[in-house]
Amino acid sequence: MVDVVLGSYYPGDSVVHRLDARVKLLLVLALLVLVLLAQAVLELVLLAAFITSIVLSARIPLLTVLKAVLPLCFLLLFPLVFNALFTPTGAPLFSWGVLSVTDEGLTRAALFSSRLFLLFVTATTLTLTTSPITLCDATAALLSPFERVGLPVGEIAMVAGIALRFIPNLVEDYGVIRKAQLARGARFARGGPIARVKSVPSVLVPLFATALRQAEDLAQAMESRCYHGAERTHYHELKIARRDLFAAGATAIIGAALVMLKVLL
Amino acid sequence: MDKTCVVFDDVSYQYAPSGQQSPAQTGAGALDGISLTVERGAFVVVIGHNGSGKSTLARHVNALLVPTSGRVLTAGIDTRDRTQLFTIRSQAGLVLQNPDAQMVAGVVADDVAFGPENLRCPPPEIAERVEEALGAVRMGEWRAANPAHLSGGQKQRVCIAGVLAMRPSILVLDEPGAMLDVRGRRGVQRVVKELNEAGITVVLVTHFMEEAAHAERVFVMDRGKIALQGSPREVFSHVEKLRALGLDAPFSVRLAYELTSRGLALPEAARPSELAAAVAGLLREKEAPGAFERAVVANPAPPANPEAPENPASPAAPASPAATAATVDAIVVEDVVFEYRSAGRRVRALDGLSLTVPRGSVTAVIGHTGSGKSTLLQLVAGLVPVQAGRVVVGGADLASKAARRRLHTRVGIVFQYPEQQLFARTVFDDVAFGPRNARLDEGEVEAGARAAMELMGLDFGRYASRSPFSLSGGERRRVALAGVVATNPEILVFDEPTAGLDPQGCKAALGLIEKLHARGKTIVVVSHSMDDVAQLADAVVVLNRGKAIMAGSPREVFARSEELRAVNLGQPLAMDFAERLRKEGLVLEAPPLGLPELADAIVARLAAENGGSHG
Repeated sequence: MVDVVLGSYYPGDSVVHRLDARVKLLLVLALLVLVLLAQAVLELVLLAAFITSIVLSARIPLLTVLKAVLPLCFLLLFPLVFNALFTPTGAPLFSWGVLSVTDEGLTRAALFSSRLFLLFVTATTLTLTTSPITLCDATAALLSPFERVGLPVGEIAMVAGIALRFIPNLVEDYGVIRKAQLARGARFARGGPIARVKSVPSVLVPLFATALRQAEDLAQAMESRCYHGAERTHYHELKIARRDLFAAGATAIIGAALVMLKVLL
Repeated sequence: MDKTCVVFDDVSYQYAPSGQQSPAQTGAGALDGISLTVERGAFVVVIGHNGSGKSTLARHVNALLVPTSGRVLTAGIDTRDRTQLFTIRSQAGLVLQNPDAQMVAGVVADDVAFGPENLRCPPPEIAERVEEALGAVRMGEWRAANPAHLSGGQKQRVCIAGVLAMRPSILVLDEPGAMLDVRGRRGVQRVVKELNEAGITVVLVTHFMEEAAHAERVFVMDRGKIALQGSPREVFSHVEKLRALGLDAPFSVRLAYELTSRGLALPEAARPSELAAAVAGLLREKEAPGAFERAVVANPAPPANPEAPENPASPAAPASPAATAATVDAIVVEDVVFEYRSAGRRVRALDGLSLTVPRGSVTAVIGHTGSGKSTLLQLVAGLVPVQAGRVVVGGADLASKAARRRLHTRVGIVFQYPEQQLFARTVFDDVAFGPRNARLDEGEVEAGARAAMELMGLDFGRYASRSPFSLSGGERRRVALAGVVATNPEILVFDEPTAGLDPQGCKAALGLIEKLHARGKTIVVVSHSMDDVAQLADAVVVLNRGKAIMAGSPREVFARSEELRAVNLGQPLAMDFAERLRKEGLVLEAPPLGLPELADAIVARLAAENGGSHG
């Protein structure tokens, strides 16, 4: 009965799925920078079109993408309100005490929130089309130069991947423990803040106990399958293919177009 | 080439006493002078109750543990040789009990690839090994799936594939079926058997005796020693000794034992089919050949149920009118529909479900995974809202949230593995959680907790101030049960109360439920063990796809074997055996629910046959 969409992988076989994860990660980072730098409406429209075409070629139902992005959208609220209310310049549309809403404020709010929205969609497309473990491998590969200065990159990536893999399990365990205690008359949603804080250990203690027991099993299972930290090979060999070059080229062209727009306008 | 695959040479192992180890666990699970050999290609089963050391033994085969004294040779390599560690572990793959805790990746194929990656195989070879291993466990078409969307049995098969991808010659499985339902367990069993036939040496650690019947050799462990060993036939002939060790021989062996002690002369038989043939053979000896033919021809249909005397009407008939039911029935469920969301889709867990639970009854709910059993339990306990239809529990309609909240002192729910939900510093605090939430004064709280603990067989003086985490698994389950019983609910609801327990633990758990029933509680129990149901229940409801498709006494419901099989459910072993006898031409009067009853029926039938031939 658990459904955790955030950061969860939507298996598929599209071009976007098959991009080399390192390339994909770098391109997404580049795209995020472009989105952050975009100022004008035209730039944002161009980026939105590009990002939409990526989402479409990933062949993930749009509803799934939106559902994954939606929980992040409450983050839009604060800058939206802030920009709308506290922009001093521009023609006032209406005012209320010290607060006044100006046309420029509204434009800024709209631009700002659409920029954030594009960021979310881009990042979500990455996590939807890349399995967590591949993403970890890619991150590790990109960070591997740091191994020379003693950073255990492979291990960190493994830990992160496993953490991602266990989140749905923990959510499910949490649900059962909570229900068992509700049935014994626990009041989670009621009482003052002190009562609420007091009810935390009764859920967290068994949750941690379960997690620790599973961790012990997991350690044994990993050891049994010859895990020894460093020097593993990778099932998904990271190899640059023509589609990667194409994706990089497309992103570069968009980047160039945006720079041109900035210069020309 | 050396034919022996695994050699234990006077192996002892002591768990190092540490802060983490509770007093109850020290000593438990240790090994004490084990010597054994496993031949290449053999199928060996290790059985023993919890804490007998069988899991410790399994972990010695692949050098997860190394002996304190003595030595273990795996594929000819001494496990103390740390330079050979990865050779040993890739040669002897280990599969553990909990499939969820063994998976590292969020995609099936990636998880299977984990071993070969660690062995530094080149990527094309990894892909080859992944396909080969997934094919061997019949999970090839799930390669791109998220393990979270698989059933327990499928997950466990992926775990087996994860080990197979290292191309081991030995497969060690530590209670692989303990957390699975019957179907999942059967799937795993079949795969393991096929792998053995393909040449892999199998060491299966289990407490399911029926699995041991397929082994070439059985080792029975007790307190770190091998108490019995031999072929299944030899080992299971020690029925009394096994019982003393907290184990039970497989059903057919126990039946043969019962029949022999009732004066029938039977050959030893480890498999039900052999025993059924032997029993039918006794009948054939006593009958003229013509009479035998008649017996077979005259009874082609299932035995007509001769008005099961103790069940005049089915007590759990789905469509009993609610007006009269309110006074008689503890629970009435009418036309209930329940939906939840999963992976963006709506899943209909209950689809027009109607049933009743008579007051003071033990009503069992059976159905395979996904039939809606768990949802039904949560609905009855007021933990999920009534979306459509009507649910009346103890006379209260659960339509409103307030009614559902008031229910908490009247209905107790025991989830699967309830011991995993213990949280308090002392046993007393944990048990007193319910009464305290009900705002009773401290005197009443203590009285309630004390009564609940004593009822569950926990001496108050001895256990009240101990930490629940220092207790053994069985004791912890008792504490968890006491915690639910402490508010003195009229209705108790159990989800798989015997899951993961060894035979002794199962017996104890069923005993506790019977005790609660004897105190006048209404019991609803979800179980996939048909034998537990046959033993406990006086009414059975069968769920399939969110609907009640059958209801009645255990005798009535279990007699409909074809319909049960169609929804992937089995029969109690005694009835299953009676069916085998029928196919052999021996028809019993009434379908028996339990073993003694079956033995009596067989003896009575043979005696009647005997009398007939004399007269």
